Amino acid sequence: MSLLLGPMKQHLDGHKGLTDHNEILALKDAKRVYIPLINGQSTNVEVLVKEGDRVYVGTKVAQRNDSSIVPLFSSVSGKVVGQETFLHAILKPVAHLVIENDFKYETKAPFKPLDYTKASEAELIDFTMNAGIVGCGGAGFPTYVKYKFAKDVHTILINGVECEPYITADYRIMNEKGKEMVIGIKAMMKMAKAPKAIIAIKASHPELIATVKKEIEGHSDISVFPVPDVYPMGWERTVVFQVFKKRYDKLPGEVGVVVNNVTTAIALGTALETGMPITEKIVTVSGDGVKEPHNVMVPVGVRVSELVAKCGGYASEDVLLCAGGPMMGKTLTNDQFVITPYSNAITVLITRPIDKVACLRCGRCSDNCPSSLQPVRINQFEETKNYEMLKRLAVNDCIECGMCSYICPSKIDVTEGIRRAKRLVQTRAAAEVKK
Amino acid sequence: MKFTYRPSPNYRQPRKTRGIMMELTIGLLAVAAFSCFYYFTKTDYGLRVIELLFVSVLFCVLTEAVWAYFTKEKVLEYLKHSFPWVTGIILALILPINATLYATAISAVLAIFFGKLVFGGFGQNVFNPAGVGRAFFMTSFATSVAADVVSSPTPITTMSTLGWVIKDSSLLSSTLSQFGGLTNLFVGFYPGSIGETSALVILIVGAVLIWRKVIDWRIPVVYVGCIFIFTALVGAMQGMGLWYPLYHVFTGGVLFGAVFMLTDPVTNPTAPGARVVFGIGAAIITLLIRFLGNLPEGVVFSILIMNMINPMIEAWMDGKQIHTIKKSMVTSSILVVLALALFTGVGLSLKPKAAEAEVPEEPEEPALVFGQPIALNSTSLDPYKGEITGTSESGSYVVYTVKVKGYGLVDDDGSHGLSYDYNIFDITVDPAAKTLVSIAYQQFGDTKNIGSKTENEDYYKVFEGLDLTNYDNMVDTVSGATCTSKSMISAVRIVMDALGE
Ligand code: SF4
Ligand code: SF4
Repeated sequence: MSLLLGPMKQHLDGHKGLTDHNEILALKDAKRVYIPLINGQSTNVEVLVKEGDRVYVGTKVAQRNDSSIVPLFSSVSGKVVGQETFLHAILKPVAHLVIENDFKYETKAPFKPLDYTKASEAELIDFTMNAGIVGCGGAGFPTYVKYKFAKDVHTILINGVECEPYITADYRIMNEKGKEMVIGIKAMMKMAKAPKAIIAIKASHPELIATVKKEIEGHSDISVFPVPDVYPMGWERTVVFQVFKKRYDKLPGEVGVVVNNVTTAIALGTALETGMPITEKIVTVSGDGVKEPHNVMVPVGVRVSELVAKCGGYASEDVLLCAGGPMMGKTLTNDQFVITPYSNAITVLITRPIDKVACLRCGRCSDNCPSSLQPVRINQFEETKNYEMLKRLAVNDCIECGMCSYICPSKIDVTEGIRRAKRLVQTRAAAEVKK
Repeated sequence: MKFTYRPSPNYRQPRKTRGIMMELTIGLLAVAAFSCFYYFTKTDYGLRVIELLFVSVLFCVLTEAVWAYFTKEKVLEYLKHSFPWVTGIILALILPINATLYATAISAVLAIFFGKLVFGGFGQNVFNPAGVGRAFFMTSFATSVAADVVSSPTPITTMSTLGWVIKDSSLLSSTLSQFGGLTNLFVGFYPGSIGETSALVILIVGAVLIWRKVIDWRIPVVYVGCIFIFTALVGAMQGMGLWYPLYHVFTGGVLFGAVFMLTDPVTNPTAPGARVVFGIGAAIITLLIRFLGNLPEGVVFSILIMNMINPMIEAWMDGKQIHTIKKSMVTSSILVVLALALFTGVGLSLKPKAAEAEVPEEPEEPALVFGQPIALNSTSLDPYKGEITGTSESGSYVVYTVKVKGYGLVDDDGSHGLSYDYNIFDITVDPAAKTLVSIAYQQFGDTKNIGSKTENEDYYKVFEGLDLTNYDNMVDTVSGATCTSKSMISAVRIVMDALGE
């Protein structure tokens, strides 16, 4: 904490104990899976199979074909029975490819394994693209794009900091798949021509650090960097600043760093080893609104209602259902949406009344905003729709991390005010461009 | 099954504004408790502290309740979200002990109404409401002091009458010892505004509040730090030691203002960088008011002035903080450099006003009001015990020298905390006619500016020609100096007793 700047982060009670040591359940009995025909915000997806086609675990069923290329794969074996459009985790209706499960889980690897030590950088980047490896931090950003444009990278920063409360999926998978993680990291280093890699893990997880250290033994170019248990340490900027004490303007490449989520590295490692893309995910189902919080290994495309049922069902008649963690995950008003290749958590919380009072201008939101914005000021100017001031307050740099609402002692929906301000600025700016 | 929709995040920290205000209230009450302790054990005014607190809080709450009622809000809910008692406690703690209850009530109403409600209530106000109340009090009721409460010069008014500089070491030690020395100024057993005196208690409460994150540490630290540095500089220019900046920091409500008023989040900037600028500005203005305006109330006025320019500071610093940090760094540095230059100048130009200090400005004293006569046989004179310490002859008259207890000594133990002494009168009597010829002070031992109203030719005339055989005779007292008048009348009675024997 400095005199002129707040801490820009904050320790949250993570409730990780709910799920970080109990068994990982496997959900195999979904009758149908619904592969969402979307990647990120793009629904420009070409379907490659027809109704009635037989598919296997790993069959490429569709591909995003616009600014970037992202293939989508079947997560079960069975029959394609058509398409259905319903609400997706991003709060928009999206088309889903419906596959009827024959419960045989017959697998056909869609591509050949690749030895990263022999492959060239270009081959590895192509492989990453065709394997449909996407950022597993929640947004589903295609990983190969980061490497295509990587220049002068000195370090691959592997983000093993799960900073959202309740989520433990990353920890569990790091424990299980250390070998694949190392292969993935090595391949990433090669793609970026980076001489070293650093794995950032919360210092509050010493056993995990010990496990990972054992896994990277003999690789002197990979090291572990313990980071404090604060939110949003998992955000690129925050973790880069923590490790390198450097801030960048737009992309971490400016300071010679590529950041990837640890789950992404594991997915890449698995694909290189086995030729299999991401078809199933470890998803943390947690929160006080679910009876038996667990991590669940689940095929992509399974409905959340089945996942919650697997964990004992809801603990209350009135819950808040978040796709993801409680900080950044959107709140859904039904549980029919499905798990995507980049889902990592479902958080269910009992709905409790919020006692709102007037903003006391305490400045806590400004102190803790990881983007160093001034949420309280943005909210003030949003009320008067002051476009110029909102631009000056850099409202577009908000990452919607939710910190400002979390920290607000008056329980104001600060983050939501900022979203409104962002929309206002974006529509106004668009209108100006048209003129 | 119900899936409620709320915009994310759906996770909130347990800390609530109401909890924060409650902790602040407890902190304020701790300061008030110390004050009660001091006034109960060292003076007779303990009850007054409680009365003032009660009246101030009551009228603050009532004002908001009435407002809520007329704006058709649910009164209780409104009060729970608006915390009027905080203003009430702060206001009581910054009032002088001799404030009348009536003036306190009016100040409380004005504080809430003009300080808070006209701006739209909690969270919207531009000025610190308690500061507004204090300013109203200062301008409208400064002279309306409770007649039965003696107020004595506070450390900061003493310093201002001395021209903010003491170079003479004996004057320094007498000034400091008047308040029990620098240590006592720190601990706070001396008269002043009710809650402002104990640096020690305020520092402890402040530290706890900072640790509990009820208040932000930046403003108090920057403000007090700047006052210390700037006054140390002024002191150095005059060759005064470390006691000088400490005197400035400990007295006149600097610490109270720093911990409880400047930190009022509603009326200070929200961003750390701007808060630093705010703290430096407040320090400069406080000292300017002290040195150039020669007013002891620098703290309250500086808070109100900073409140006024706060929106400007805030607007000036708006932006992404990792970018505006440079701006606040530059602004702060410029302010500090300017202030250092300014206070070097102030330090060089200060001149002791010691001579004036000995004789407090008498000319402006209002005409004396006599009234409330007391019979010479009244039992209310009994506590003012005394004795004849000498007689001498002057022509056909006899002059009795009478040493008698005054206001400060009636309780026998000198517990009023100031250096009180006996009053000694020379009373000239015509032994033949048994009448009083003249009366005058040989030594005045009571409170300056209050009891000394009796040290007046006009009042002496009231006694002249008094029949010294009739105890039923009534003698006027001086309004506002009843105790000292009684001491004087008691002296006359002692002479009567002697004549009668
Ligand atoms: S939601 Fe946006 S404004 Fe609020 S703390 Fe996060 S980045 Fe800052
Ligand atoms: S945290 Fe809440 S109460 Fe504090 S300044 Fe921000 S919006 Fe206002």
